[in-house]
Amino acid sequence: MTQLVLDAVNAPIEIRESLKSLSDIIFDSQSAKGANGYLFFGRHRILNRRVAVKYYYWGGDRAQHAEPRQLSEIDSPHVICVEHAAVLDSNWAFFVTPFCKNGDLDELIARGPCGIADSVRLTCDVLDGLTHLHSRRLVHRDLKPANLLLNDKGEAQIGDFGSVRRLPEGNDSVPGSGHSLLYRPPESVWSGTYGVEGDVYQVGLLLYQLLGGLLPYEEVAWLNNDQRQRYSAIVDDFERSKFVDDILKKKITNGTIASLDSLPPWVDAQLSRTIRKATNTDPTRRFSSASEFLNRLRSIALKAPDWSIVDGLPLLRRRRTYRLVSASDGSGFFAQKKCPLGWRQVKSIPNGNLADVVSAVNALV
Amino acid sequence: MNICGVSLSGSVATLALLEIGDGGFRVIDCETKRIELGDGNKASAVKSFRDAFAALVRDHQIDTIAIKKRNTAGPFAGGAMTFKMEGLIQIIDVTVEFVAPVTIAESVKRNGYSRPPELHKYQNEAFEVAIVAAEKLP
Repeated sequence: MTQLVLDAVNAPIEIRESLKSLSDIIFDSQSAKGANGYLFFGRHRILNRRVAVKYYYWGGDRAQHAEPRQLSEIDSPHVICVEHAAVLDSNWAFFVTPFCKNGDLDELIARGPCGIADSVRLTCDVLDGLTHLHSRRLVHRDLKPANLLLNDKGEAQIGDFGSVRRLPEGNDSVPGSGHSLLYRPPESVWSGTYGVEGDVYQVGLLLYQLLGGLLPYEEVAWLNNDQRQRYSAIVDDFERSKFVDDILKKKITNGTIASLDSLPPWVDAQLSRTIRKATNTDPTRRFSSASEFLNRLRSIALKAPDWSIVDGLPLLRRRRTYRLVSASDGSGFFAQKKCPLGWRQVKSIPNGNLADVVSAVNALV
Repeated sequence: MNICGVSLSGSVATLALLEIGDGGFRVIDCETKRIELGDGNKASAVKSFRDAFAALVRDHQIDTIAIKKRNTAGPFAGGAMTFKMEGLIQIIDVTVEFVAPVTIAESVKRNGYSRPPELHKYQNEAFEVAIVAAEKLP
């Protein structure tokens, strides 16, 4: 891979100088994704493996900044290992972590909804990682899919610590993060505070997205026709952005940012209720800890039908395997069961809309 | 000191979490009252049981887990899955104590322990093992 010209990278001069000082790493690329900082990839000469270096703005507040030492002590398969960390100046700090070639959960979600078991498993991975942070009085504050990586075993790992803050003794909240408005919990919008319940809220949104819930990243997708017209009439980019932010904030605070109706029909009602509880606008009505959320999910997953998406078709594996296929004559969907010689239509289930056919298959198994 | 009493039956661990202080105890508010093993023949279910238990221990800063002992043989022997769960709990990074049913019965009779209203009836056994184990703690 071509070596990165460090003097030419898109980053402030102090970061460019810092990159040069990390002489054991041969940098080869910069991520375009690092919206909340600067992310570089390279090969560590001595360890002979790829690493990621994330520079983030830490604000110079040592009282609330998560100590890299504390983070490096975390020994969890679901929190990425901090191999090296340092503070550059009153603005910038950085972490060196292993490189995850499998990418992040944002890329996974972009490929389409995950199955029930995979969604629950990945969410439980993140919740397990969170218990390690929370038990040290650390809150993440920016748990969005782009900050959650997939390791070599396909497990989710919390992979960005740029927004992690320590909860002061005797206080259960810190100021909310200014990053990622879409994932900001309601209390952060109306009072600027963030606690353990904020992380629970963000994991609730993650579960919703993994299962196929709609959470568009394009700002115009949140606007109705009237709002789009007003948006188009605004010339100034800042004013446009502010216009959409105000609409998003309203949706966050009234609890409509996640539309449970957009979940695929095979998502169990108990799972929907779990998402609703985790993303409740009232922090006191959410799961009070990551482990309680994890245990609830686990107990649902033990019993819920495990629908997954295989070759683009909803598929259910129990004692028999069923899949749902769109009828070519436009009569909706029909169910097929797997037989030794291939797939055969389930004649006892009439063609119908997806929700009806899912219910009929669930009743069969 | 936080203690988690556990009673194992079938493929379910029933829990009662207590905070032990000077001369008394307080029930720790915890929504998780039970952790189910699921299909004990599936590696994923077995691992996730261990992870779920370990997460609970971390989140509630549990110092000791107390388990009610069961016979390993004879007509009143515990079920195979209960011993599987017991082993999984033992490998969590926390102190695990076992309390014999006779010890629990004697102590409950002697001290007149009664289940606090915050706990459900089905958590009584887990509560008793937790409170009796707390007596032995330094």
